[in-house]
Amino acid sequence: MGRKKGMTRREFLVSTGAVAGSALVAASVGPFVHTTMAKGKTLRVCSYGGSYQESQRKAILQPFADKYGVKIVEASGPDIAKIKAQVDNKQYQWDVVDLETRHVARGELENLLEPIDTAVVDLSRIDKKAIRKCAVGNIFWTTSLAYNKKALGGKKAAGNWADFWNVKGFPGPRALQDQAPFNLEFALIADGVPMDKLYPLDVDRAFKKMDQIRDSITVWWKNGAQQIQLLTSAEAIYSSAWNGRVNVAQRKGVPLEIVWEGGCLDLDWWCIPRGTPNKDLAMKFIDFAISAERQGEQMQKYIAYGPTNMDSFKYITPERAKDLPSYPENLKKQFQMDADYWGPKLAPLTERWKTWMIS
Amino acid sequence: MKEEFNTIAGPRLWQKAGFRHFLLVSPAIVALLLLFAYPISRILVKSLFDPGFTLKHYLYFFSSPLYIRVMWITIELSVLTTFTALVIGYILAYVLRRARPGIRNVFLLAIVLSFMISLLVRNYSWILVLQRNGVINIVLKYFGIIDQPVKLLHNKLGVVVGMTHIFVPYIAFPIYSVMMGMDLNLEKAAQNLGASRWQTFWRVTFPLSLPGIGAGALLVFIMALGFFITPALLGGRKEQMLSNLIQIQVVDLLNWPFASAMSTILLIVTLFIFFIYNRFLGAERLWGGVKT
Repeated sequence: MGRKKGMTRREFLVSTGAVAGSALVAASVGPFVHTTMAKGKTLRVCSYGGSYQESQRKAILQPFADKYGVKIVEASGPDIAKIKAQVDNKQYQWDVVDLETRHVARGELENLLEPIDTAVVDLSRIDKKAIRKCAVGNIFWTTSLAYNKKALGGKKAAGNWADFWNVKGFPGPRALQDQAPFNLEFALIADGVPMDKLYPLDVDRAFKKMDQIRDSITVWWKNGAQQIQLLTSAEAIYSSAWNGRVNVAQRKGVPLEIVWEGGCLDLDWWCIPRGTPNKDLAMKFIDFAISAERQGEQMQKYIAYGPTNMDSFKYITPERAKDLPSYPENLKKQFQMDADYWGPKLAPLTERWKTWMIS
Repeated sequence: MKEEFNTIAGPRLWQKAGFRHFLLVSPAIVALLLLFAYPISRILVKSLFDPGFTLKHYLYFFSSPLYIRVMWITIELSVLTTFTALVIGYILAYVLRRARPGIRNVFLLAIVLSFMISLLVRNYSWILVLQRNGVINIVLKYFGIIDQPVKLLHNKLGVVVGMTHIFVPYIAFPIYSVMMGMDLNLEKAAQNLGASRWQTFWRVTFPLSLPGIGAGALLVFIMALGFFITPALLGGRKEQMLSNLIQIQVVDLLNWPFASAMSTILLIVTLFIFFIYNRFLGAERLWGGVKT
């Protein structure tokens, strides 16, 4: 006798249970939370993930866990909005956070970060540019002009932002980031403003200069992976890009070059959400993380960002140093992003930027 | 087991069937209240109290040309992609309805499989196809049809293609299921009475499939209103959606009251669309009921 088509109720329950059970097992072996095993206290660190966080793990987090017997729980995806949620509700998921400058500036404006305890954290060898009230800079990174050497096919490459704006003299599809910060500064530099006279920005002049190039921009990129992908596939031959990512691509064999001239120097910062119960351990961690040896090892071996501890170059070879933003030769060609300018200006200028984009 | 009712006082509360049904549903109601009604009311409160009662965020939204224009771009793009998804989805459902069961199952499986591929993967695959050195341009150049690459990406075309691709299954299934319930003999009867193929379609098939069209289009339009990944990856500078702006306000600018106001406005627009749908087509159809 033939059986009816379809499942019996028992079969349905068993198969559903099997699927749900295997999903639960897979989730519990979860890939995204790295726990460096050590007994004792726990420290929760949040950073930007990917090869960057891996460089921190190898050079800083693991050595800290080993030296002090502390368990480090990592997370990714830091932003000031999530910190605000934690501080407002007094539910802390992070003790130490790696944040970019604009978020730090906003965090200080809204009183979301702990002031750095200079009795615990030794700032004496730290570059002055990397010291703020509630944060310590941990890397220098640069946003600058990058291009695909191979896609240029032997033509002369643009050497600065004025060249980037010169679409006829240096032809090729271009890309820029879809945001106001950095782009307005690049526009002013292309228009001839000296780098030490950029701030406060002449916004009208910057937008007028942006008008000249707007229709030559093929792509307005929105995230870090996109910029490298555009350059690699030659969807854009010229683009603004982050030097660390360009360097990683170069080491994988992608024919990219970065131009230090007119680059925007920026930092990432270690900071502590205000009111976290692990404040003392967090301060100890920051002091450890910004030491010359730790930063030296991180930049030499793992990622091409610039150390903020001036003694770190002792631990870095000269060939490697040339790739780093804070190498003196490279440093003098760049300007530093003024966080205190952008703190209050980000909201109105972002609106003006978006209005300009759709007009 | 028969209930023993007290004939003077009537059945007790826990003896009434209606109450027992309520008990069965109550976990779902609690979940809905906790996970849906409560957070939405928090957002509403956040948009109106900053710190005291104020309408300033709503006033700012409607007085600022940027947000009105972006709202308009969002609605326009949503309507456009709903329409293209509808055309393709309808044809798909129409053909599947009349296909042999074996072929039909293969195609249905293919559509279901596309659901299982992540949105980002599908968007990136369109980038590979549409970009300057992408599949389409390479093929066109190879056959000498073009000299310079055609700009298929980072513009409205790219966004419409990407979003339509995501939406076609959501529209095809409701229309298909409505068509499955349709008696094909009605079409034969119409032709018997002298109707041409077109007249048969337009006056018999199409009106009968309207509930499926309505359900699918409603679903897809509401989804499109909130989309922001696909326009960000595949669109150009003019394809800015309201959800992008909300995200900036939440993450970069920490202006949560204003972000809440924008979200509430988007929700109200969505509810308005749903209300119009209910008025003309009846929301009961969405879950299999009959409009009375």
